[in-house]
Amino acid sequence: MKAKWKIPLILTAAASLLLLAGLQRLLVPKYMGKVVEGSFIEEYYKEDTPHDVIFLGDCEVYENISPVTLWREYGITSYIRGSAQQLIAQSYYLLEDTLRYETPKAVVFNVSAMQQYEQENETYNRMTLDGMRWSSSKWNAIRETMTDGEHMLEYLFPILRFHDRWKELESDDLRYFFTKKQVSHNGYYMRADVRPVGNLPVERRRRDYSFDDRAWEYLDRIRLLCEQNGICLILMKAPSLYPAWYEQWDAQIREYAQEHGLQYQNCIEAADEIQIDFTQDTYDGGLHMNVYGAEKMSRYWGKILSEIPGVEDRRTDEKLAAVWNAKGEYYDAMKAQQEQEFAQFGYLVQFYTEE
Amino acid sequence: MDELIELLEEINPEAEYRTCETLIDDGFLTSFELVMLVTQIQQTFGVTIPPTRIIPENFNSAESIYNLIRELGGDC
Amino acid sequence: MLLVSYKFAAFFAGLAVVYYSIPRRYQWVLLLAASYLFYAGGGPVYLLYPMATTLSVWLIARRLSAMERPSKRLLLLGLLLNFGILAVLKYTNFALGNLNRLAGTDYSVSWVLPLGISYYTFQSMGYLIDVYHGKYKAEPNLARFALFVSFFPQMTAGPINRFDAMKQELFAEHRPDSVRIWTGAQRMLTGYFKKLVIADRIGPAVSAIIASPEVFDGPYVLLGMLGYTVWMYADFAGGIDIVIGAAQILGIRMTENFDRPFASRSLAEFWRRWHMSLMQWLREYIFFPAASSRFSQKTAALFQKWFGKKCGRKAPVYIANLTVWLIAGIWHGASWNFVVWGLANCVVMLISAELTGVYRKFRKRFAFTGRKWYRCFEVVRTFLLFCWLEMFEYYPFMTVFAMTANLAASLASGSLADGRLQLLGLERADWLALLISVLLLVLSGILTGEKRISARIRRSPAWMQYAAVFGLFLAVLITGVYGRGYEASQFIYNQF
Repeated sequence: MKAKWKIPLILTAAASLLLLAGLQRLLVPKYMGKVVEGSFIEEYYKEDTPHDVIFLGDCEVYENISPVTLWREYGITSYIRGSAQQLIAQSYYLLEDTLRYETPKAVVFNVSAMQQYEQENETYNRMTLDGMRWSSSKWNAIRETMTDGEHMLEYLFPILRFHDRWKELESDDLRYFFTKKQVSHNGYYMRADVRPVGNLPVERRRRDYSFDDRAWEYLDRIRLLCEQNGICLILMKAPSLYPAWYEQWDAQIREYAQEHGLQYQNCIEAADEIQIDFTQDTYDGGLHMNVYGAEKMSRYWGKILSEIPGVEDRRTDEKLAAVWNAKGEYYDAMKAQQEQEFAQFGYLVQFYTEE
Repeated sequence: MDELIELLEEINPEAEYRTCETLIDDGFLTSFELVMLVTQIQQTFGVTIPPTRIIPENFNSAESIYNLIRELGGDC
Repeated sequence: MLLVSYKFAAFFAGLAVVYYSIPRRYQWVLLLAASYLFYAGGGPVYLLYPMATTLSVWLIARRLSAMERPSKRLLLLGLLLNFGILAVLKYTNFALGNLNRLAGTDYSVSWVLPLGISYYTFQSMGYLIDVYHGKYKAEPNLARFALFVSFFPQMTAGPINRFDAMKQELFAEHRPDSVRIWTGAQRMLTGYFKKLVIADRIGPAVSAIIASPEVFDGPYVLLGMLGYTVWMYADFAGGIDIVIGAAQILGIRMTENFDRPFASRSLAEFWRRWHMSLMQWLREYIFFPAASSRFSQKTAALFQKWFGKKCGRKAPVYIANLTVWLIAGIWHGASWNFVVWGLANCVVMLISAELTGVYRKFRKRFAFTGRKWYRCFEVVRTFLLFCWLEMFEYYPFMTVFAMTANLAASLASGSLADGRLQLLGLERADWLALLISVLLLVLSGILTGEKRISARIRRSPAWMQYAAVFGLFLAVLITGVYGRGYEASQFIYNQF
C-alpha cells in the first residue's frame, strides 16, 4: 500500500473508533441519580490508599457498614466491595480483583448470598460487572453468572446492551461523560431517612434448606484465597429482618465456620447488643439499615476487627488521616443534607419515586 | 405471415407489428395477451408451443414468432 | 441460526476468512460444510429434509438426463415426492383445521417446519423441470448439487435461484476482491437497517393493530395498512439484502428479488418487481404450462364453441391465472386468508387485463397521461391497491370490507391522537426513527431510479462514501431494535 493512503486510512480508522467509544460512553447508564449502586464497584479504583479490611457482599454490606465511622472510632481503614444482588461467585471474583491492588488484613463476607446462587435479574449483573476493570477475574465472573440471553459480547461492548438508551438520554449522561461524581463512602450507600419496621411478610416454611453446591464451592474458594494470602476471613449476617434468614441456614454456616476455624457473626441475634432500634435505624421498614443503624453496626464491628492482628489504628498516619478527613467531610455534608431534606419533606429527593 | 399479423392485431391493434422488435419488452403484449396469442396460434396453425419456448426472445417481434411457428412445423 | 444474531455474525466472519485462505478449488466444499453446519444449528434432524430432497432430485434428474426421451412419469414422481413433503409438513394442520371445523373434532400435529423448505423445494423443482425439458444437463456430482439445494444464505429467505445461473457462481474459484467485499458488506448493512431499524420496530405495533380490528378502527386501519406493507417490505427485502450481500462477499452473485416495487405503475408491474424470483418461477413453471395444458386448450375450444371466439381465447388465461394465484396464495401461508388474498389479487389482475384495451385507448386519447404527475398518480394508486389487497392476509374476508368502509367514514374526522396510540408500545422517538428511516428508504429508492444522480453518487469521493456507510452502521447499532432493550424502570433497584 502506498504511503499516501496510509495516513488517511489510519486517521479514518482512529476517528471511527473514537466516535464509537464516545457513543458507547454516552449511552451507558451513569448511575448518578436514583440508582447509584451501579457506580460502587467502579469507585473502588479511585482509591489510592490501602485498606486493612474489605467487606464483600450484597446490599447487606453496602447499606449496613460505614467505613467512615470505623475510621473515626477505631482508625480502621476499610472498603466495601458490594453491589445490588451481588452473587457469591461475583464476590469471589471481586476479591480476586481486589487482590490485584492490595492485600487486606481481613475480609468480611456477608453470607446472605449463599441462599441464591443464580442471578434473577440481569440488570443486577450489569450493575456489578460493568464496573469491574477488565481482567481474567471479570471475564470469569461474567462467564459464571451470566443469565440466559446475556452475551459476553455485550459486556465487551456495552453499547450492544445499552444502545436503546438513545431514546432516554438525560442531562446526567453529558454531565458525567468524562468524570463521575463520588456517590459512595468507600462503598457505603448512605440513607439518612427513617421508616420504622412495619408488617413484614410471614416467613414461609421451606421444603429444602440446603444451599446450592456451587455456592458452597465458591465459599470454599473465598476461604482458600484468603488463606493463601494470609487474610483473616470473617463471616457475617447483616441484621435484616427480611428476607428471612432461617435457623437451618444459620446452623449450616455456623457449622462451616466451626469446621474451618472462622468467626461468624449473626447480627440479627446480636441486634440488642448492637443496640439497633428498628423504629429508628432502618430506612425501608427493616430490610436495610439507614445511616444511624450503619453507624451502630460499625461501632460493633470495629471492636471485632480491632482484635485481628494487623488491623491497626492508623489515625496517627498523617497521610491517611488527611485522606480520611476529606472522606469524613463529604460524609458529614451528605448526611446533614439528607437529614435536612428528610425533616423538610419526609423523604429524600434523590431517591423519591412517585407511587 | 399475414395471418399472424392479423392475429396479433386482433389482440392489440395499437402496435406496428411489421417493424416492432420489442413487443414484450415494451409492453405491447402483456403476459395475458401472450397466452391468448399462444392459444390462438396453436389453434390456427396446428402447432404445440411447449412452455419452455414461451420466452420473451421468441415473441418480441412478428418475425421471431413466425420463425418459431415454422420451426415447430406449423404452416403459415 | 438467525441472520440477526451474534452467532451468525461470528459464523459468517469466520467462514469468510477461511473461505479465502484455503485452496480455491475447495471453496465450494467449504460452503457445503458451512451450509450443513448452519442448517444443523436448528437441530441435526432437520438436515434430513434438504438431504432427502437433494438425493431424490439428484437421482431422478440424472436418470432423466440419460434418457433419450425423458420420462414424464419419472418427472411426476420427483414432483409429487418433494411437493408432497412440503405439502404434508406445511399444510397438514391447515387441512386438519378445516376437517375439525366440519366434523367438530380437534386434531392437530406439532411439526416444526424445516427452515426454508418452500424455497429449496421450489428451487430444486425448477431444476428438475428444466432438466426434463433438456434446458441443461443434470449435475453429475451429488455434493455439488447438494450445495445448490442448501447454500446457507438462501435457506432463510430465498431468493429462488436457477441452477444454470448458480452453478457458475457456486463452483467457480473466487479470489478476494476488496470492491466486491465492500459492496457486499454495504448490502448486508442496508439489510440490517431495514430489518432492525424499521421492520422489528414497526412489527409489534402493526401486529397489535391488525389483531384487534374492533379496537383499532378508523384512521388506525390506514396506519395498519401502510404499516403492514412497510413491515413486510422492510423485513423481506432486508432479509434478502443480507442474503445477497453475504453471498456477494463470498463472490457469489444471486438473482435479485426486489426491483423497487413501489415505483410500479400497475399491479401487474408490481408483481414483476416484488418477490421476483418466486413470481418468475410461477410464471415459468405454472403460468405458461397451465395455459398451454391440454385441459386449458380443450376448455378453450369448448368455450369457443359455446360463447364465441373471444371467450374461448381467454379461457386459458383465466385458468392459468387462477392456478398461479391459488399457489401464490397458499405458498405465502397455510390459511384461508392467504388463499383469499391470492384470489383477490387474481381478480384485480384479470379485471385490469380485461381493461388493457381501454387503457391503451385512454392513454392515446389524453396527452396528460404522459405527464409526470399522472405517472405519480399511477404509482400511488398501485401502492394503495397493493396495501389494500394485503388486508385480505390479516383480516377475515368480510372484515376487510367493513374496515374499508369504517376507514372511509373516518377520513374526514378521525384522528390518531387518542389513547390508542399508547397501546402500540412505541415511544415518540420510535415513531420519529420510523418516519426518518422510511423517508430515507423512499429517497434512496428514488435516487436509485435516477440513473444520472446515482452514477454521480457512485463517483463521489471515498471519504464521503465511507462517512455515509459508517453513519448507516451507527444508525443500525444505536437505533436498531435488538438485545433486551432498555427500560429505565428495570434498572430501578427494587430493594430486594
